[in-house]
Amino acid sequence: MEDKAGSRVLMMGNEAIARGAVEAGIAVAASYPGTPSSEIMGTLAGWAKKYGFHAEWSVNEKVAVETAAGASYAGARAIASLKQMGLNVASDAVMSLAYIGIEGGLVLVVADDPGPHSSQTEQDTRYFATFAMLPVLEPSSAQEAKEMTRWAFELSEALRLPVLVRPTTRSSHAHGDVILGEITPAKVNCGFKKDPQWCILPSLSARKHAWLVNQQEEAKKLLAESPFNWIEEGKADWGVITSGVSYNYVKEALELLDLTPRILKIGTPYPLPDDLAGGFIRRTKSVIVIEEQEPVIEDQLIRLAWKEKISAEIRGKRTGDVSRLGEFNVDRVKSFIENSLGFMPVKPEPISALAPPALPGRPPILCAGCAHRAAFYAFKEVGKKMDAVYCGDIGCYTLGFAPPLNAEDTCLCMGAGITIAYGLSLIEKERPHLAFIGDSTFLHAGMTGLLNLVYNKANVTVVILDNETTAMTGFQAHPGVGVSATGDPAPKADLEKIVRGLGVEHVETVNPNHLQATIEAAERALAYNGPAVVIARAPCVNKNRPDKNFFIDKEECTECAICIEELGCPSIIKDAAGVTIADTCAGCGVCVPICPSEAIKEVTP
Amino acid sequence: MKFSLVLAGVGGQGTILASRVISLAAMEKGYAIRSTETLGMAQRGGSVISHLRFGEQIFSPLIPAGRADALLGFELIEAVRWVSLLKKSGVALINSAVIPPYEVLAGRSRFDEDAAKRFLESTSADTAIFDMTALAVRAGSSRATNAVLLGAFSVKGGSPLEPELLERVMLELIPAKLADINRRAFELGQEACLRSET
Repeated sequence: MEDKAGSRVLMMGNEAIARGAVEAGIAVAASYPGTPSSEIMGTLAGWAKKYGFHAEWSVNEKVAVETAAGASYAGARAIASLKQMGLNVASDAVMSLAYIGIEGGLVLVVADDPGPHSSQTEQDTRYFATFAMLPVLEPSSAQEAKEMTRWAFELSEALRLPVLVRPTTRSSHAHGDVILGEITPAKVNCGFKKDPQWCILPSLSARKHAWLVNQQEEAKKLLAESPFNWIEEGKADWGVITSGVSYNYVKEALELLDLTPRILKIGTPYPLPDDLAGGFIRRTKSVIVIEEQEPVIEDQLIRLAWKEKISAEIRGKRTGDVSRLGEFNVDRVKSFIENSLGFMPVKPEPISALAPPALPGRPPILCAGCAHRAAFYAFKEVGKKMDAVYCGDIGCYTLGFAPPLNAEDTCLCMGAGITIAYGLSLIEKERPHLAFIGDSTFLHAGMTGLLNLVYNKANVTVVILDNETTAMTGFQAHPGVGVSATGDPAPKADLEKIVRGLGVEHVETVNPNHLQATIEAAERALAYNGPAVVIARAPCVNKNRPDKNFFIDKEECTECAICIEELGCPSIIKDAAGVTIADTCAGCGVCVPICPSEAIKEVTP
Repeated sequence: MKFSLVLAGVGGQGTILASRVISLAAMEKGYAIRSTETLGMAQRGGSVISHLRFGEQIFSPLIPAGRADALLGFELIEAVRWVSLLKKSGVALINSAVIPPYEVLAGRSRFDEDAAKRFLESTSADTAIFDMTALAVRAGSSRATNAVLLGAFSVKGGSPLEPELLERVMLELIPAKLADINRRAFELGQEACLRSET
């Protein structure tokens, strides 16, 4: 990619954030993948050698934030990038860091996922910022995401606090043309200075709490001067206050409605700069606050108006005009404005006089040839005779939830499959409990749960679905892969040794594409009294396709469709021409032994 | 000038690459760009959509209902799902090939292909529906369906981006060993559109 200052480049929001960090002169970047944040580290890892900084995929988000914090303690600029639930994992570190403070600029980019598109919750990181009393910046475009990230390091150093940058899906995963700035070389001539201030003892915490509260006022002053908040004058006695990507929807909705109210665009939602926001509503009869997700700006504004005795009417989520659910777009924002003004909504004319035909849904599914499908099938075959409970986890294999596999009875958060299965087993002692967890998720949050199974003598079977990558988020490396984020050879964590080291005695490793052997391993694990682990290992089919092709012999096929009903492979098609295997077949061959008529055969070259 | 384009398909069909080709071509012409696409979980065989907008000044990356100038439908069901984003005089370029979702294959739901085609033909949009997957296969690989669509878009999309520009940017983005297949697929897409005009 072009990297000269002044050039205009097409960048995804996440790439622009990475660029902002490089322009600020980071020395360390750490992350755990999670949609919609993953491309930040994906980009930084590709640039690390060129610009001379350290970039890594950490074992989990808590580790990533603490790693970045350590570098900051030594005076270097550091960044950690994560998704909103990753911040939950890292929250223990973040809450205390707000008290302890930092030395080199420390920026935590936390990408939110309103919708949600790819997440368990629709939580708003700006609430977390309020809770932790840390400033948060919210970009509206790729260009602004870059500028904000760069500026966040200066703000962090001025306040001696970590600073959050909160993009959402439509700023992280939106492309735009971005003008590049100068790159600052990483500051390396710094070092850690010993001082009691780095040890969070209760007496220090009490003093630091007072300091942190005071820093909120300092932050407001600095944020008021930032270039990310501005007022656009209009020709009406009412106004709109908006932030992040919603600013774009507001601009277009107003154009469609042919309205020109005053606009206050906020890029620093917490702490809200009082003077700027107060001044705006003082000169406005009424305002509507349009922000994606929770009423973070709105509630600060209501408090401010009450305190300052400002009479402007404040409309938004608290008055029911604006939704706090889901992702916004121009049409939704237009209807919020129509609601608050009491307009009759105008809908575009339908494109056809006919009603559109009913459409089947198309949820995501496991890929053709995915070895998780084979593992689920094998364990379900064994478990169905004994009414087993299947506890799932976070990753591609969450898709095992869908029919026909129905292999996930529970799914909560990273690592919870093992521990929920254990909790269930304490109550339902006669029922078999299984936990499915991916390799990356196991290393992220599964090891402690497994140790707990051993220590407390649980009777749970854990299946580690090891496809040797972090597949769902885009095939990132992890400690079990043998490669670092920057592509260098790295020590490869041996899952079997880890599991044995934690004290599990019944451990087997199988290739799930060898269906019969996997079924037998499942039988042994379920029959074992005590914690048992089966490592089902086959590389992700997107990284390594078996070099085979299969076809359905028309002579033998009875069109019973058992292959379709049992496996749910997207490459087995049934239509007017009968049952066939499409050219998207990845060649795993798992359907071959399932066919009762032995009609599925390998193409011999 | 503001041009808004929807690309709708199934995860794995190459909508993102096609969106990137058009974005980079628009960049070369000096336009401002905003685009966004489905990434993450839905990419695993799910319904995916890219919104792409370019012009003098663009705000929202997401296109409002009834405001898209063109729709590139990579698959019939997905084209029907998103055609309401098109403006009345928009252009719809649609692959007639169907990728049946699992619920259809398993007989839990059905899809009336003829009703879908009738509906698409009944819209006020300028519509071309043909089997682009078959053309891609003729060019050398079903994976070149996105190149057929780009070819069709280059002559019938109604955008200010010239066919030569789109073809060059496409060839710069794909691996050299796939250049011939994609060039042929691009040309077949162009020919199919020009034929349907005459």
